[in-house]
Amino acid sequence: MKIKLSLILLTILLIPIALSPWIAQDSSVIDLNNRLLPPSAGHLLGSDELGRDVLARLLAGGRISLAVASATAILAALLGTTVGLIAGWRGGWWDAGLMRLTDGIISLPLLPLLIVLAAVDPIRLGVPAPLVASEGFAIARLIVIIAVVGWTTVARLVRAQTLTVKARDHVRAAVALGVSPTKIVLRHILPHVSSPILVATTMSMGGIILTESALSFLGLGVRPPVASWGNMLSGAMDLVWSAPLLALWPGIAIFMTVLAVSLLGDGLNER
Amino acid sequence: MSRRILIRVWQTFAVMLVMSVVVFALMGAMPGDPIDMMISGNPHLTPADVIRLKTVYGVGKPWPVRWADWAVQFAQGNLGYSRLFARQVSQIILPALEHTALLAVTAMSLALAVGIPLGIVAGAKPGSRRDRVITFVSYLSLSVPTFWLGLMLIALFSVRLGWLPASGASSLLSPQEGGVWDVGRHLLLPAATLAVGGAGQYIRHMRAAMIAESTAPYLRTARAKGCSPLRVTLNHHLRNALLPIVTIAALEAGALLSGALITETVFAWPGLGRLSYDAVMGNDYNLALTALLLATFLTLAASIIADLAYGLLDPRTRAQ
Repeated sequence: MKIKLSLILLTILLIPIALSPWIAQDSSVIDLNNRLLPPSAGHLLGSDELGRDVLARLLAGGRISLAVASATAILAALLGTTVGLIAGWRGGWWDAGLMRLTDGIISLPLLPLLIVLAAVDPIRLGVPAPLVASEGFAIARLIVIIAVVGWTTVARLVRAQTLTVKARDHVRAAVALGVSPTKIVLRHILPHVSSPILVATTMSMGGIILTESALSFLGLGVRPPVASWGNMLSGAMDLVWSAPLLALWPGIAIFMTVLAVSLLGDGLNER
Repeated sequence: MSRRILIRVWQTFAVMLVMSVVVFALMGAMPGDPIDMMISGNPHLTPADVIRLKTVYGVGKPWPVRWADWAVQFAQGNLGYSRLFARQVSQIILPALEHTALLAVTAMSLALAVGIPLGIVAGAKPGSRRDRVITFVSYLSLSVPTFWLGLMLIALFSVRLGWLPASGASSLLSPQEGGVWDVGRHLLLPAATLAVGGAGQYIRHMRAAMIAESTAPYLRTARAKGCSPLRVTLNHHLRNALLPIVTIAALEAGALLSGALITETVFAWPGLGRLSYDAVMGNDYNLALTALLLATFLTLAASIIADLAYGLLDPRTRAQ
C-alpha cells in the first residue's frame, strides 16, 4: 500500500521532470516586461520576479534537487558502509573509535554545523579559485557536506549486520581457507548487508532533500541563477507580501517528493 | 547508573571541546577577515589602529594559539565581545535563550497535545480506518518542509487575512505595550509551524509503543479480572506505552532549545538559532562559538536527561 502510493507520487513527479528539456519552456529566459504574471495559457503556473516561467523553473529545479539528493544519499551510503564494515570486521579499537565518532556526530546540532561548513571559503582551504567559481562546485560541495554528517544511520546498521554475518559458517570457512580479509569483506559480507543499506538509504533520502532545500533556502546551497526548489523558495520569501502564491509550487514539489521517498523507505522496511 | 551518567557528562565536555576546535578552525577559513570588515566599516581607522586591532584580536597568530587564548577566557566565564552587536556576548545570548525557550515550550506543548491522543487512537486499533488516516497524517506532517509551511502560514494569516504578525517577537519578561496578548500573537505562527513536525513524531512513536505493548500479559490479566476496556487502555496499556515517549520528548526538547534555526529565520524570531546563523554569517567568532557550544550542550544535556528520566520511570533499567 505504502509502496504503491509512493510509486504513484514518484511517477507524477519524475515523468515531467525527466521530459522537461523537451516539453517545457527555457527556464532561464528573462522577460522583464512580464514579471509576476498570474497563471495563464502561456505560463501555466505564472511567471516569477524576473519574468521566467515558473513551471519551467520548477522542473529544472527538480532535476537539480533530485540529482543532489540522490548523489548525497549514495555518497553517504558509501561512507557509512565503509565505516560500518571496518568497525564490524576489525572490532576492538577500530570498532570503539568509529562508533564513538558516529555517536558524537549523531548528538551534534547538525543544522548549525552544516551552516558553518557551508559558509567556509574554499579558496582559503587551498582549492583553486577558478574551480570554486565554476557552477558545479557549489553543488558538489553541498553534496559533500551533507554526506559528511549524514552517513551515521547506515554505518550503525551495517556494523550490526556485519557482526552477525561475520559469525556465520561461510565467513568462517573463508577465513579458514585463507582468503584475504579484503576479499572476505567485499565478497562474503557486503552482499549480505546490501538490503539494509538500500532501505536505510531510501529512508534517509527524505531528510536529505529537506536539508538540501533548507540550505539552498538560506542561500548556502545551490546558488541562483541555477534553479533548485530551495532557492526558488528563498526568492519567493522576499516577495511573500506582493506575490504570496509564488512560494506555493516549489514547496508542494518538495513536500510530495519527501512524502514519496519516506513512504517508499518505510514500505521497503516493513517487508 | 550514577557511573554511567558520570561518563556521559564527561563525554559531553569532550564533544564540546572537539566542537569548539572544529568550529574555530572552520571559522578561520570563512570569507571576510574581521579586521578587514572593521576597516571597511570605519574609514577613520589609521594604519596604526589596524596594527593595534590585529594585536588585540590576535590575527597574526596561528589559530591553535588563538583557540587556546579563547578557551582560557571562556573557561573563566568571559564569553567575549560580539563584533556584530557591539555588546558583551552574555548580554545577547540570554534574551535569545529566553525567546527560544518560550517558542520551544509552546511548540512542544502543542505537539504533545495533538500527537499523543492521535497516537493512542491509532495504536489502540492498528489497521483500522482511523489508524490509516492518522498514520497518513503523520507522514504528511513529517514530510512538509518547515520553512515552506512557515511561508504558507505567513501568506495566509498575515498577508491574505491580516490576522497575525509575520515576524518579530516581544518578550514575556519585559512585555511591550501589547502585554501578554502581543506575545501570544507573535508566538502563534512560529510555534504552530514547529509543532507540526513534532506532532508527527509523537503520533508515530506513540502508535508504535501502543502496538508493542498490546500483547503484554499484564493486559490480558487486567481484562481477565474484569477491568473495563477504557480502564485497561488508560491505566495499564497507556502508562507503559508512554515510557519511550519520554525519551523522544526529551530529545525533541533538546533539538528545539538548541535553536529551531529555520523557523526562527523565517519568522525573524530573535532566538538562539537565528542568532547562531547571523553570527556565523557575520563572522562573529565569540558569538558564534558561544551560540554553537550552547546548542551542543543543550542537545547533549537533553539526551542525558532522557536517559535519567527513563531510569526513574522504568525500574528495570536501573538494575545494571
